[in-house]
Amino acid sequence: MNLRLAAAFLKRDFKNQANYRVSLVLQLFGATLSMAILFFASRLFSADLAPQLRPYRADYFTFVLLGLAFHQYLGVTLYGFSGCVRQAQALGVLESMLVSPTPPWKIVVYSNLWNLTLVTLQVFLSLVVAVALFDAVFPQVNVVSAAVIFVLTLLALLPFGLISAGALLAFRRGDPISFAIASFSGLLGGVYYPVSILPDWLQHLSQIIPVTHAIEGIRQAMLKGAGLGDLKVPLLVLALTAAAGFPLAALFFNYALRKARREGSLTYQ
Amino acid sequence: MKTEPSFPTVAPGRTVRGIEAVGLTKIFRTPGPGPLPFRRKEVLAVSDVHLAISPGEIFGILGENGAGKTTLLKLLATLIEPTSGEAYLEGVSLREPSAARSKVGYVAGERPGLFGRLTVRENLEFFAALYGLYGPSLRIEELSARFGLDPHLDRKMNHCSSGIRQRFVLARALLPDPRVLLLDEPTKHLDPRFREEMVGSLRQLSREGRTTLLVTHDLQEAKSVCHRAGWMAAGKLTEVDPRGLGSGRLP
Repeated sequence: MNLRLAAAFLKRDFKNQANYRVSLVLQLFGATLSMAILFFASRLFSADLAPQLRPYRADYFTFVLLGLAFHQYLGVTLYGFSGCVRQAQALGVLESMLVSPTPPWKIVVYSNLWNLTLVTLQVFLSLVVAVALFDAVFPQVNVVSAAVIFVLTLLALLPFGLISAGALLAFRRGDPISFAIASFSGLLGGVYYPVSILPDWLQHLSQIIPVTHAIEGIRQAMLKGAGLGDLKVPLLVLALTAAAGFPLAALFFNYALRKARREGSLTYQ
Repeated sequence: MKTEPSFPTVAPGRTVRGIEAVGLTKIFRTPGPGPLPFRRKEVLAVSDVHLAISPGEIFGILGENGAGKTTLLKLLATLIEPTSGEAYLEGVSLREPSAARSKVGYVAGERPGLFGRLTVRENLEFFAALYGLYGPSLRIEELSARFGLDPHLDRKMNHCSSGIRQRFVLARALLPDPRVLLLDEPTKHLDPRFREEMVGSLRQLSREGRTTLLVTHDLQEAKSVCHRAGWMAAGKLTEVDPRGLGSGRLP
């Protein structure tokens, strides 16, 4: 990673965003409002009424908070990269960036750094507010495991984001794979409820979505203090997804770039 | 300005420096009539272009809209892949896009491609980073002084006139100190005074030994600044004598 280049992109997007301070503050704290709604809704039932939550040693509010936090990363990773490409095309700056010697994939990846930073801040603030105002309890936190799961999740999802950006360059529209992952992760990923309440066949289906393992892993680490040894399955699935995803994403992105160059559509929407 | 004593002819020879194109051709395949996706129509945008432009030369390209001028520039800027043929920028093949791009300063004709909510300085700093220039203050000061951007450095791009923006665009193209300049109507939007200044800058860049390919619709400008010129029609480039431009002797 070229830290100086990354800093240049972050500085650019921060300065740009600083023109919209109110929007920035709303983006950062807007989640608090949704959290309040979630908090009061979760008071409708206790853990006793939801035995599927017992293995997590947490109430529904804390359980779903972690699911939603990771779901935010999913959105920014799957659609953030292509969103940045689309925005650069609309502003007419993609062409001026692509004539520099910086490789196009770096331009795409670094363009989304600000969004990833912003979501990280949002998630961090959400957790702080949840603990401070809504009595969220994280009984046993294993920081190392949570950090490893977090990084592996980003690495596992990043290739899908690059494929999505490549699809936009090549076909000027989104790709069906990212759409499927984004759509089905809400249903099958265990964001709002434990996967164990799904019918058997859906439970099996949920296991092929990396997000299911990411969310399960982070919950185990943040709620039960699971160590790396206890998280073999999520770690393995995420690592394999990343290992298989990067070469595929690189191949597809290069193909998409060549196709766009061949058709002369690289810088057009 | 016609200070160069001799200019190489347009030929499929090979120069080590400057710009060279050998049989450069671009055919776009666009959706054809009817609903069937495999029925494609072929559009010949650039046809068998041979070019040899030496260091310090300014080669003007003229022609009607849709003649293929911008496509030729984009081919050389590696934004579009040629269908056939080869081109070299300072001896580097377009088949190595990243290496070729490091030789080029490019000014797009259609849109300036800048961040409107950032200042002129912030824009220059960002693009400097893309060119691998870190801590570029001296370079930015130098270019700002050269293009009269000093008083505007801390103004947001959205608040700058189109003339200032156009000067910024040329300054940005020169950030990496390129030996080759690909300029698509760089004097567009400029009032007569700035236009004259820009023409002066192009001459200065030529004296510094930079190779320039200049797309323009202005015959007088081509006549006054270009060492050689070509007329483009239906993708074909024919060399013309720039001294004859504006006298009704175009192909």
